[in-house]
Amino acid sequence: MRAWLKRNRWGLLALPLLVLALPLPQIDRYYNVFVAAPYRVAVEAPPGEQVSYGGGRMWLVSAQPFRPVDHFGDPVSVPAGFTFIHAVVGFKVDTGDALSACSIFLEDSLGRRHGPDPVALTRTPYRSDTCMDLEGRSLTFQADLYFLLPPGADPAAIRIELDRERPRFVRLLAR
Amino acid sequence: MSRRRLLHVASGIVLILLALAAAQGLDRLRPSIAHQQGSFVRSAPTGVAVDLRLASLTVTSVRGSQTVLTPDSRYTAVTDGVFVAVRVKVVPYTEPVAFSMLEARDEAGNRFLPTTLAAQPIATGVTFQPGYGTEGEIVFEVPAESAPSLRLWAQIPAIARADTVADLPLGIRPADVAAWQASSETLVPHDLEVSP
Repeated sequence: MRAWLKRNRWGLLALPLLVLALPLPQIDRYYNVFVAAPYRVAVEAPPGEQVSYGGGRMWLVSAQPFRPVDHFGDPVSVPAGFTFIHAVVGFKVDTGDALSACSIFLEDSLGRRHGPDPVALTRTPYRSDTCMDLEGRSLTFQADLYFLLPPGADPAAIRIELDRERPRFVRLLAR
Repeated sequence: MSRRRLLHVASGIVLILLALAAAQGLDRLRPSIAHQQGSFVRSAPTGVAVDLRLASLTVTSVRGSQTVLTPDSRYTAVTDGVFVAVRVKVVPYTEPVAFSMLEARDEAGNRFLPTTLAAQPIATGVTFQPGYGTEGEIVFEVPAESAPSLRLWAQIPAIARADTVADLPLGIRPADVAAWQASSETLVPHDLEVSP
């Protein structure tokens, strides 16, 4: 037995290393799934300040509660405690479509991401803008965004994500 | 070759063959690709929420009729079977979600998509926001004999492999179907509603 151990000592020492090396051929996959793909690096701007991201600059103009009305001028009814938020984000882009593929969310005080244009605004004139001036006239423009927050939630930040900028994303802090 | 050497080589070959046989046996025990990457099917009765990883889904009620109001609200559509309106409540947890599949299936394996004869405010395409519930109805047109075994199938991600799929029995009784067929009431799908 001792002779066998001595004869195979290098192989036995290499065995645990080989086991540890098993995932190496797919290391790029793990890197993409756990490191490169998730949005995990926040580029933050306090209220009133700008950030540069993905070929443009952006800043939060305002994020305030508002009371929407439908096409007939009647207030849109939601259960008590719900709050509609009207956010305005300013953009200054290098080219008209620099940020065209972006996604915009409202982050609430509990860390949840809310998309614009909730179903409660379906039959109203309110439609959120995007990260590009759809009329294509100006490289500096403002986007109106409409959200609905449930009871107990406050706006914390406007979050902007661009696929090609992963893992970086923008948080325009509301306070 | 000495007898001892011969025995050494033979035992080595036998050990290799045994290892190959063991590997073959282990390989047969391995689950199939379909099993490994299959969906996690979760079920719950009417009124009980099922967890779909990104959101919860509850069938809150079911009603039916032979007549339904068309999407433009000007006409009614009549069927030889029944229109079944399934009211559901969706509560996403932390991010907006949209369903990639909402369909009804009967015990014979027939699959029914939401009918185009009725307004479908909650069918695929609607984005549900987190932190609160959104309720609405999905209307299916099905043969009367299919209705008692009808189940709602729903999934959120575009790729169902290795993810959760809801399989919710609708609990329709034959007596319900008979009552719906006898009724002259027009089914008017409810609008979407939000709730805490």
